[in-house]
Amino acid sequence: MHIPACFASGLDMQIIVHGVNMGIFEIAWQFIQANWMNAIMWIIGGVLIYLAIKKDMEPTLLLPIGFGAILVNLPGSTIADPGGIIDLLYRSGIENEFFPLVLFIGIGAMIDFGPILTDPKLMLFGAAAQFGIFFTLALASLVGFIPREAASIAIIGAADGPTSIVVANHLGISSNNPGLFGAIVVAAYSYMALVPIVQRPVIQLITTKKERLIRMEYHQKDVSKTTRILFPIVITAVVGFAAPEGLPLIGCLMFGNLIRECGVLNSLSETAQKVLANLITIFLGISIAKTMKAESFLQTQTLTVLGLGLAAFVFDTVGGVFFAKLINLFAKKKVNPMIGAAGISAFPMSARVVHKLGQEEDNQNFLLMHAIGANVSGQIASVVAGGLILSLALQW
Amino acid sequence: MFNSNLYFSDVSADPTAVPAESSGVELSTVTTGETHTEAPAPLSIKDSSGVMLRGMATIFIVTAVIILGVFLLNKFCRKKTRE
Repeated sequence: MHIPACFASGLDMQIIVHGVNMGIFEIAWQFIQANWMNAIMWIIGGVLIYLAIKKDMEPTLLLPIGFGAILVNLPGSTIADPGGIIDLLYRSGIENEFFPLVLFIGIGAMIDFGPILTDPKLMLFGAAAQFGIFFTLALASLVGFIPREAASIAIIGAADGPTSIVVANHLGISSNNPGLFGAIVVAAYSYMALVPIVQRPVIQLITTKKERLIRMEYHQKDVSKTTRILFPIVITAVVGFAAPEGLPLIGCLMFGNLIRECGVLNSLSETAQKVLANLITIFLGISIAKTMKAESFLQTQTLTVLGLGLAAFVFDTVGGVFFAKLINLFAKKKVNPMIGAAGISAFPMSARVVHKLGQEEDNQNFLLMHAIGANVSGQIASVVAGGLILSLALQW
Repeated sequence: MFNSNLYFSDVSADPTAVPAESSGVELSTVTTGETHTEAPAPLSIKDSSGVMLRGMATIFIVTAVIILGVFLLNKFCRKKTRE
């Protein structure tokens, strides 16, 4: 082993370790050599914790993931080995998809689908903004990923952490390539948090000032309680028929929404929105650490996945905006193309970005409700896309 | 790529197999029942373009059905219940 000259100098204090006379610097150097990969993971964990606390980026998930990354990479840590608490949580909640699916019940209970019930055509933007998923599937295949890996990476474009976990897990990535699984989950949650940074320049690049100035009127309409109650049931039936593989995802999402809208389960709805969602989020975040062991995470594929994840978000945005432009070619009432960008599932960050951009161009332009409508429709469309990807990839 | 030769292998070791040491059988003759399936090749540009078109078309069709469903719900449920 080569030891730098400065470490072997006379200044180095000599101590005896396992009967061998060693200098402190020498010990430190050996420690660094043995643990440099772990040290990189501590830095990654630290960055995630920093983003969560200082930048308020998806703190509920980035903080546990960041802490977990440090925890499992400490020298001698056995916490993620069989029998350890993280291994136990991982096997109880991630491997069998329990955590992400139960989390979907909480998410469903949080979402008000009112804006798309008022203006259902906004759902088209949710569909268009899934373009990034399929584009990334092609891109990942081009880079050399085998079909199931490519499909799992592509689903980062669903902008939905739980969907990414379920799809990648269902396709066997978590057991066959834990490093890839970890990279997918970290990319999915990180880019969700980075939506304001990723989407803003893309929207500005592909829209003109004139387009960004287009105003859209919003008419508040009453939506009957029956419609609100039947909506989750109808959606579950339609999506279940079209993409049966996505039924667990859409079923849990819509079950949560039904609890919210039925009007007789207010305490359950409140529990699902707060206690249940928070509890699962804590376990989900820390369990992901199981896939963040340095030796499996620190591979070239992680960087490739991060790049492809970014591409997925960018092309989701491009798909939504260009679809809105396409509609404008035929529609009498013009649509602000930025609304298309809100069709991704990152709720409500994406809607906020679009509204803010509209306000920056014209402070009397209120796009929020339209953007929210497109944004919640993205939630449904992303789950449909997840189901479709699963149906297709399971045949490969 | 990425250990693809061992990907999605169907490992079905026989639990009743006698350990090589105790049976005195040479290691090379011990059969574990392991079969490794070659990983499928990445999708070609043509295949992935096909998946892209098919996927987007399906999403738009499902969305159209949902929009129709919401339209019908709004049409028939509006007068029946007041919030």
